[in-house]
Amino acid sequence: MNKTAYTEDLTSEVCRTLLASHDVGRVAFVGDEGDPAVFPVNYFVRGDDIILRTNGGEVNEHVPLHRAAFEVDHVDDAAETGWSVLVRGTARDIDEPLGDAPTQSWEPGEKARWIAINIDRVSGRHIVRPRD
Amino acid sequence: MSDSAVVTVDLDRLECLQLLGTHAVGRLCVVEDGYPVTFPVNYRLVFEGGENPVIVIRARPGSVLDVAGTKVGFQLDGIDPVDETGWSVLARGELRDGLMEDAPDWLKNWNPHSWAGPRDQWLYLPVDKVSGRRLLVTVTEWAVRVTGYL
Repeated sequence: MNKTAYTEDLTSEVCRTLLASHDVGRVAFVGDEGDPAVFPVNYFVRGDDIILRTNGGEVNEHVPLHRAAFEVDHVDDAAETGWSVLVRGTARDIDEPLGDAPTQSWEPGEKARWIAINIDRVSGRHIVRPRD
Repeated sequence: MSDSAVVTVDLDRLECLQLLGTHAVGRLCVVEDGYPVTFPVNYRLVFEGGENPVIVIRARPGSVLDVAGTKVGFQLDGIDPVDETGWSVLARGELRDGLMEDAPDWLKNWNPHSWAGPRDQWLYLPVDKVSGRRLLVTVTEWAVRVTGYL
């Protein structure tokens, strides 16, 4: 008989490693009426910033950026396992980053808006499913 | 060889509901301390009796989900990293406690315990404001490679 699965917090180091090793996440902002909006974006990590690009349409309908959240996860619905990492941060507009920025975005847009989320706090958890 | 373009298509309500209905893990976004905290949750899309569908979310007692009555976002997506295409759906509204008095009758009669354990709570989000988009890769032109025919 299987033991019950449980969730376990991830260390900050593991969270940062997971962040650095993926390139698609979800960014969240709080809308005008207090309800959050979440959508997927390409991103990369540069120092203490998550650098991402939106196509402008989604973000311009908000909202000064201020507090934002960024989430990366992998959930295996069949095996009922997975992990998620959450960044709480402060967002700001930046100029298009040159040099080490990936030039491809999975979502094209005429009015690209580059945003940096400075990491205030990182947390994460994963689901552990013990085997007999 | 081909060149391709990525085209964005907005999804209508029915398409969004179809995507919501065929998945079981989404991301709930709740504002906490000013941050739109986001994390994966198990959910089911429930339709009954001609009412508007409802996203039912399984929650652990004592978790940050003890905030029924607050405005939330609920998001899910399918990203294909190889083709660099995908889809995304976002529902927004007010999260409610599944056991509250003002839950619709048909929802009170719905039994979540087939998938939620006895210690679980469940919350629900009426699917009112929902939007989505899909990214399609279209092949726009083929370049002839003569050597391919020799």
